[in-house]
Amino acid sequence: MTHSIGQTGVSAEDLQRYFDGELTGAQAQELASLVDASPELSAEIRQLQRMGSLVRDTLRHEAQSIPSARFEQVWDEIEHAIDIRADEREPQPSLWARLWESLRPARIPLIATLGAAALALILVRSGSEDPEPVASVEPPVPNPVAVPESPRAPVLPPTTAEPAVGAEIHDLQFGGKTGRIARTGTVTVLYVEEDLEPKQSERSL
Amino acid sequence: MRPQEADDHALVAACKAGDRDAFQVLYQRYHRRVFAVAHGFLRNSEDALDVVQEAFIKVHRALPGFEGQSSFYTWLYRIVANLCIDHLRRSSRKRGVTFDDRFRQDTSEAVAELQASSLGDPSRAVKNKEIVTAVATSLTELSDKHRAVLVMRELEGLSYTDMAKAMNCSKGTIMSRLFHARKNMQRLLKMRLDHLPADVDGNVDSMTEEPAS
Amino acid sequence: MKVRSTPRIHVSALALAFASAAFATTYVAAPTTSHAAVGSAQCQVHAVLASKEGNGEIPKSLAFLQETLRDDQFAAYKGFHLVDRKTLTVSSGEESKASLSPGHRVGILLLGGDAKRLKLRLNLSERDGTGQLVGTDYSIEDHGVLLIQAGPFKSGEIQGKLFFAFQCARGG
Repeated sequence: MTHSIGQTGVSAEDLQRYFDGELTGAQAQELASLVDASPELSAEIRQLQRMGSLVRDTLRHEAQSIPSARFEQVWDEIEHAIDIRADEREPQPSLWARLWESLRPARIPLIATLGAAALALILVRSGSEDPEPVASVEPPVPNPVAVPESPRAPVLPPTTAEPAVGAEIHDLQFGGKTGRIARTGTVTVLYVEEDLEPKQSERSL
Repeated sequence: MRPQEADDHALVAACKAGDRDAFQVLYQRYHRRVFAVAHGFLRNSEDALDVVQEAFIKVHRALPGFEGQSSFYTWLYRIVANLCIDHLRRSSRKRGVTFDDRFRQDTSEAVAELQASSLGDPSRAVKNKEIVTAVATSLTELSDKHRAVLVMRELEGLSYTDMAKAMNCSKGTIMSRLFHARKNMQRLLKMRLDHLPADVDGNVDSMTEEPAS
Repeated sequence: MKVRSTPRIHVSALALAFASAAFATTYVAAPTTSHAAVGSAQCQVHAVLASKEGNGEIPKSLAFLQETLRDDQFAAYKGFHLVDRKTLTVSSGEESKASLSPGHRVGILLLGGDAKRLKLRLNLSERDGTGQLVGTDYSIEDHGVLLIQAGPFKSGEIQGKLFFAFQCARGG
């Protein structure tokens, strides 16, 4: 439906298209001349400008009213999500790799100590305090300290603690729907009926 | 390409190379603007913050595929708008007053011109808390579709073509929605602001003071 | 044949023991437990799609649920997919709220706690964000997990049941 503005012969829809810059060059020039010549059309344009400014300024003001700390919290969540995705793409180091990494400050002294111990052991065994030659059984070579193979340990976040007892429910309301509690060991699950068909996201309004 | 756009592209290139700080700079640059759009659509601060979070996570995941044919913000904006539209489709928010999408002919006579004298210069008027409240409440009372086109047009300056793509409808539908959105908004503001004296000015500082975190 | 008996210098064993002790101290040392009253807690809410299709692997994003999901109650499910995740800082003054992408809204209030357990009030809305699906006051050990299984859910081509995992830890 076309709404004409007073006696101007210009439709409100065309004026809106002109205001929004949606007219072609020639059409826009024609409307511009009409607007310049008509106080009524000029007033309509000013109204559109004012309302646009009010909406813009109000939305920007609302955005400024949120404390920066809240946005920092949002950034923390974004970073965490990025980290989770990065972890999913890269394999986690094994427990033994982490152990070796944690010994980094002590590696050199440890290796030096072990080397000194091995040297001392060799010297002790090669030197002899017993004057009588003995036909000794070759002592078994001490096994070098080696990191044994182990199956890949499950990777758990360091802050996770195994639940000791589980949840204890003090009060429970199912909001009118049916529900139940189930507990096995330390695992407590509340089951609630929603009675819904599976939902999917739709894009268009 | 404007300087900021060139800077954005340099930051995106750094992000693609794994520079987390560069991505944080992009976040710092645009998070409030994204929030303003989302809050305009959704009229709920927590939902808008959720959209901010989801949008930047999506952007980070999709960065390898961003080729720079549009500006970074244009690309970010499309993601935000789509998330808001998805959100509106999922939620069935009940409002105290509902408005028909169409502009009823019988009320056309009642739609009065906004009195310039009651608002004064918009940039000063917005500082008046009552006006801000009136605008904010009126926005909330618009239908989702009307509010969406008003936010896209007035806040972001999107063309009818871009709005039609975002809302998956025709340009003609967008034009009609925007027309009726503006008329309804005028009527709501008139109802709320008609009592105000000609020159209004409020306490700017009290409205812009950051709440304690 | 005479076997010489000499005192063995267990240098290597001592060094290994020292290293083990150093490792235990630096790597496994647990933070000191505060016995002060609980002022706040950090809660994570995970919305998870459990489906009957899959290879049984639990994604890294749900690693903290690994033991829980091996429980008999989840024996019917072979695939687990993270749908949404939110973190809330909860305190005793005001309910902390968040919206989850399936549509539900969650609110958590800290009711109290001691050195080992937290007491919380949890409200989960219906899928349209309104009303109440379930509300509960419960106590749980620090880092413990409470699960709520809701209704059917579909994400892309994957269909299954939607459930929520709530894990809270004492704040600083």
